[in-house]
Amino acid sequence: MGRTDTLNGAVILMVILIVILFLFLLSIPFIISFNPKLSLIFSSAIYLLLSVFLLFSLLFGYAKLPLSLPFSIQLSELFGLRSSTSDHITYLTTIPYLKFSYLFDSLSLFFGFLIAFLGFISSLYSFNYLYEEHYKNKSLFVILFNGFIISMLFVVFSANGLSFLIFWEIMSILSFFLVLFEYEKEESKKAANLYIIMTHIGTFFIFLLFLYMFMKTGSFSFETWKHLGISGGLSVAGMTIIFILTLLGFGMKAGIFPLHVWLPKAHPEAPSSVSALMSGIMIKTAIYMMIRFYFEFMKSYGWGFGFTILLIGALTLIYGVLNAGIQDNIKRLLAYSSMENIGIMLMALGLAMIFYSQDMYLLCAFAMMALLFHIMNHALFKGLLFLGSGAIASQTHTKNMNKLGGLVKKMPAASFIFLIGVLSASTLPPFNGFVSEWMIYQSLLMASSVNIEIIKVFTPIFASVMALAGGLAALAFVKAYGISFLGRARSQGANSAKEPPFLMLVSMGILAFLCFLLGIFSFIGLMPINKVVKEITDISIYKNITISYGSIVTLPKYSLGVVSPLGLLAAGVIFMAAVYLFIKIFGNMKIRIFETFACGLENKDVYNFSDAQISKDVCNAGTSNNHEGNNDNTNNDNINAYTKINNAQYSSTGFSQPLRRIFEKIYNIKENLINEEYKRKYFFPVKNYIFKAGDLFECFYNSFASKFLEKISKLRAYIQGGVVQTYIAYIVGTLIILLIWVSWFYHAG
Amino acid sequence: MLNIASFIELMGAFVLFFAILQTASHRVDFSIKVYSIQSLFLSITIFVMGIHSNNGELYLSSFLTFAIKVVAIPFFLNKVTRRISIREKIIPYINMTNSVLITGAITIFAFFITKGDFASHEFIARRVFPTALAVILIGVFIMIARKKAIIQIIGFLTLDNGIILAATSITKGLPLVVDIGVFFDVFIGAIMAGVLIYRIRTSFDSLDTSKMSNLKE
Repeated sequence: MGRTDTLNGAVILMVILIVILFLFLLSIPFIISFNPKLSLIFSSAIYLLLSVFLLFSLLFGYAKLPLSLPFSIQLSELFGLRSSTSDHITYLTTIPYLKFSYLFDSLSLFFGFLIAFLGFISSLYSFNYLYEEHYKNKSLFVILFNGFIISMLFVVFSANGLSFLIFWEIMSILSFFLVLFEYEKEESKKAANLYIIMTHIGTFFIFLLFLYMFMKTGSFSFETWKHLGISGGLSVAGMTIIFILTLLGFGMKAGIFPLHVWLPKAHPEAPSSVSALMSGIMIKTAIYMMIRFYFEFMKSYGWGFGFTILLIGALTLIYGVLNAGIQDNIKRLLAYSSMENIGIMLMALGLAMIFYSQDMYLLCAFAMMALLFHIMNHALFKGLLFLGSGAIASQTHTKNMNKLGGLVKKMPAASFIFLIGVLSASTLPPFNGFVSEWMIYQSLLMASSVNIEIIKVFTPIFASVMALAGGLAALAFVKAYGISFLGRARSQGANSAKEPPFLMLVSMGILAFLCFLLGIFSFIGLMPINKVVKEITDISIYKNITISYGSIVTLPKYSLGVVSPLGLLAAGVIFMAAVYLFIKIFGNMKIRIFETFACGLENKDVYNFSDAQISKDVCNAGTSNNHEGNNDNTNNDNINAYTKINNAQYSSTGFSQPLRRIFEKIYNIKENLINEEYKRKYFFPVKNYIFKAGDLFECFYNSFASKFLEKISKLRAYIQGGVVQTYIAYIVGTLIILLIWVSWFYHAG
Repeated sequence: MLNIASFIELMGAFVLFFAILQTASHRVDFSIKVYSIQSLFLSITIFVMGIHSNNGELYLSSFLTFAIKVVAIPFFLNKVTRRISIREKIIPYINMTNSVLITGAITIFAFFITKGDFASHEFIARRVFPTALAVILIGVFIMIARKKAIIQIIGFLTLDNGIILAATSITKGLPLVVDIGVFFDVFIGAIMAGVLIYRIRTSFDSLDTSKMSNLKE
């Protein structure tokens, strides 16, 4: 970027922003000490301003953003921006190698914009959500939440390995605390533990990676690393090491295929506005770093790396979507769907890398654009879906879809907004998910022009995998929407649900509107992305994409297909109108208004399980063995036990049963049908059906870890016997060995 | 002919002798007496070294050794043993005969590893250093081989005597500040260990440290 005309209006705006941000950071403790609401409104305003500013600086190339930090700032440096010609800002510290330097190129500005925007939405949402969920320590939430967003911003703006690691760790730890926010729940504790362990293993690999880069370049600065890529100072072995370490380190955060175990556990446990942020943008900071590594720090690698990423992406995609299909916890379903989307992003990334390695920059730019657009779209619709699930959970007090149902009548606005999110996520036109995924399909098909046999053979297979995944994702989301919003209430909580408060609806509505807008007029979203792509690949692809009639997206040179979301919308509207008119004119349609059909129950409330209760009381004679009751109390959504008698209506578990049977091998499912009664064996027997869907890989890791830990602990118990004399003997033994060694060396030398 | 260097060596040898005698001790009060006498010989050794090297600080060090190790610590330990009324014998992991044999081996080992020209210049008494090393190792050996907590304290104090002896024999006396610091340290350590023993006694009804392995998880 390298501009020198920094003292313009933008700088003044920027300085004002900094001042506001500082005041905000300093005033947090005072504000929240009496009012979390005020603080959240304040912070959402800040994030809105920040996101607008970041978007504008991305689009129109405003000056750098000195997000000045409380780390050894030199004021002269802060205001001496005119002298620095690059888009780096560096603050030195007294610790060697530790520099807090920040980079404001278009890639980081793009991610920063997404973070700030989603931060704005979720703090707006939290304004009501905190009170709806009746959290006890609201002030703590505000502190952690703002800290989390700010640390993510610093992660993407960091331009130095060490400062990056510091903010990365702050981000991980704050998100750990947010996952642990409802710390009384056993599930939260388990999920948070798993999350912190796995994320630290990931950080360990990132550490190794940065140390390797340091060994190669003698510096932690990203600028120097970029020079390493340009100068081609890396051997093939070196690049392979970097590639594997990035995959392990950042893949852990992104939740790629075998390392995903924490993701479906941690996301459902966090408060919904936080899981929207975690799923919407936090896991993508890993993709951000992958882009940095594969397109800036590494150059001229073979196609194998890209192909590996493509393969891992396909595995992540199919595994995520298959698991999403069988979940009963709505937030866990969304978390697995996030994993699926990470798979799609990785496929786009892999394609971009393949094209990049073959010097096909136009195609690379197209795949890159698809990737970034999908990141943006996923942030929007997954944010929307998580916020929507939060609205459901806060109104019905359960996340288990087997206890939802009939919400479309209780919360019509929220269910409409959620429907838009669902349609986006299952990649249907005219919503944004469709456009970006269509672009990725295009890139996959365009890969046939690469002159490598394996890629020519495999990319159609990947395309079909993606198509399969698209179908399965539609299944999962039909289930998510149909079971929780349609039909009749399956529990008391769902029956007494109300429309969520205004600001929750507004924040979700903004996202839904953007999903629609970017679906119809996708060029709006592609405009800022074009800047990013141009900086990475030196090709401005925006002009190469034919955008006639406002919305058609394609590459004319490799034209395989043309699509117009606007045209699709128009076609859809015309078709629907035609069908409606046809029925209206020719059909014999009498409108009958009747109670919702719930698979043949009597005309009484389904959630009213007095029958079961009575039979239970008779059978068990007072022993409280009611699994459903237990479920409600502990809110344990993982294990799904309920009496069979109440579930004449199609349940979530029932809906996914075919999927479970077909893909039995890749699930880790425990099913049990238990006879509950003791006396009445033949008349109206009460049975409990227990169903538990776990992750296959979690099971695998657990068994491995338990075997390993068993051996270690046996050894430890043997060495550490608990007798004081033994410990002294260890010390003396060491001393004597050292003495002998020293004297021997002394005499020898 | 008894020149002053060999007199120092003789005194050092007495320190070693009482350390070995310590391992053969059957009773706690006897152990404390042995420790007291050993400290007396240490004090004499330091005093003679002071005469030999004409170093005023060593006189003070010698006096401190006498005051703290010959008088104060044994007095305090006796008080503790009387209060918790230890009547039982010393229970060893390794019995007395074998202990004495092992101390012999330790002494040989100490002489073996110091047989080269370790710190050849300005050695006051050539054989005091291996003696001191042997005392250190025997002190640790007492800590390992005995079960009673109070005997372990005595083992620790023996070890400390060995360290002081080694330090003075090599360096012609530590700087006075360090010296005073070390004495103070040992004194406070002994007092604290005494209090700790009292606590162990009241909560375990025994001073047998092997019973403390119950504490482990």
